[in-house]
Amino acid sequence: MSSGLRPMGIGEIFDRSFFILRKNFGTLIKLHVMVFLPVLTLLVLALVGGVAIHMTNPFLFQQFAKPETLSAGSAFLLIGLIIFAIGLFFLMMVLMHINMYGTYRIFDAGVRNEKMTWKEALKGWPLGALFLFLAAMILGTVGGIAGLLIAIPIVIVQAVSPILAQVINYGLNVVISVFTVLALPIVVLEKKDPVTPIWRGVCLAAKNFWRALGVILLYTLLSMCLTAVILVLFMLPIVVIIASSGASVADPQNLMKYLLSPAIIALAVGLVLMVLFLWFVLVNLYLGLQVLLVYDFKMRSEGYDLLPPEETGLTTVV
Amino acid sequence: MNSQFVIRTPENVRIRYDLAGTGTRFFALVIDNCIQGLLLVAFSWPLVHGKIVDFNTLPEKLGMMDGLLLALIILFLMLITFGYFIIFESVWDGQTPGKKLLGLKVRRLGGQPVDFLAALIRNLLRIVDWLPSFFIAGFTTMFFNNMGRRIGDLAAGTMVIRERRRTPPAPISLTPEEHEDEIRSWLGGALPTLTEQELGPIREFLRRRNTFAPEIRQRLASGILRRVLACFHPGEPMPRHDGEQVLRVIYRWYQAESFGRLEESSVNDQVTQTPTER
Repeated sequence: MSSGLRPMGIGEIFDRSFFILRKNFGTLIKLHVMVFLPVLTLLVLALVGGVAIHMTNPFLFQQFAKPETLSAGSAFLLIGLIIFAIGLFFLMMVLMHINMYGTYRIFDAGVRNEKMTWKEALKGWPLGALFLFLAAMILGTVGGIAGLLIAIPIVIVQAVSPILAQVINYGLNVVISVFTVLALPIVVLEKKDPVTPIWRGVCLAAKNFWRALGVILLYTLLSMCLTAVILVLFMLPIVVIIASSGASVADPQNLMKYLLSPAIIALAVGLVLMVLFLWFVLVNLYLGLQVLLVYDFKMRSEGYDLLPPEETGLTTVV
Repeated sequence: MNSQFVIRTPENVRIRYDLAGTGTRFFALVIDNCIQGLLLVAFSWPLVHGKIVDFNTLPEKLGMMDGLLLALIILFLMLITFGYFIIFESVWDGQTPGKKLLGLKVRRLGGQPVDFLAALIRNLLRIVDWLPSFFIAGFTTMFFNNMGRRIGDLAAGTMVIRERRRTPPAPISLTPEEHEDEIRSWLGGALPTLTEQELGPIREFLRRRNTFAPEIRQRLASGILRRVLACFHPGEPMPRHDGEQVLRVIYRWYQAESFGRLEESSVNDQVTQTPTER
């Protein structure tokens, strides 16, 4: 088995992840847009509908603040809006997992030095995304139960030593993160059911605990830096606008006039694009790191680079 | 596989460089920033505790402070912030402590070591790479540039490469096997030519065999042997020899025939001679 695969160092895992992300940047953008297009369309339609309703009846939305004065039609509309919001939330959850499924497949192809279009990445998406969703739900449920169980001794320790309790709390969270980091990509990469990958991921991570911990800690450091940048980028326009406008906050009309000037709009659009870019890189980098960790651990623990699993019969090794 | 940069010299020699990735460069920068921070603390600690500078009344005293001392403080701050990178990269073969730790090196695009001017330009332009904050301009440039070069690299004509290991991996030493002659005669008695694609998995397996669980180790050995046996003409299967033992015999055989020059090539063959075209 030879596709240039070999066990990687932590730095190499990050470099490879960035490399694949950069190489498939356009494909990933297309994937994200096409997957989230339904939601975006719905949001736009809702916005247009809301504006149209507001123009025909300017006082309608104000009535929602006083439910006891609502007419039957307004109450129906309010209920409809609530159902719409809940439906939109669940749709976002589903689309997020479809997007994750496609992204994992693109990174999987990238690791093997293959190219994949966004359509090919979404092949088999109904079952794949469903398994991914179920695996995430199981992980979340198990994690929640574990969290509750862990909270009891931590509360007891807190009474004795708050600092020690915090240390134990963070330490346990880190350990749980390490053990669960591989579950979701394994569902997609090995086309397994939602349950088996969780235990398989735990076993693989346990055999390579320090390496997984190193990658997670370094990613956390990188994401903290980029998140700080995003926060600065949000604060920056406020500072620039207030400092340069000469318009007092107490004079909102003047301030609004300044805010709607072409220069400020261009600045805002540029900053929004920058924030989206950074967020996009951060999220997809993490998914890429997960895929590369799966490959690296399989190479180290199972010799995946030496022979394909079907030749060794190691398809269901735990 | 890392991206590579290939230079073809006038003598028709190809020199390949592995370009450093964004992640590794970021972590090298973190290490360097930590060292810079320690230097700053080391500098300011005696100033404060030696009562040379009282930061509570510093704003008032600035106007009265000895000009020379103020100049020295500013100079030292500049040395730590910019001079750290400029001096290390121009004196230490394109490496800072952070880069050295992670095996990175700055080189000019032609492969030559970076000189003082190039180091000065690429590091003074860190100010631009830093805009609007936290290296966003530099990160964005690196992300979209094919060679991962930031604005400072583009201006100075430099690149950051991954320094290959100077020492090759430890050779695999194997002791003579029991029944080695028996296995060799079972394999046909003659040593066929194995390509790197066939020999590579054997070498890697033998190097990493102790890291595998026993069951996996056994299955890998059997699988690799099954592939390799196609090149030999073995007799009937000999069940008392396990796959790993046969692989060890094969590898020792090759080591003996090749006078120990079987290990994967190290950094030193970075320069490869290409045949001239007629």
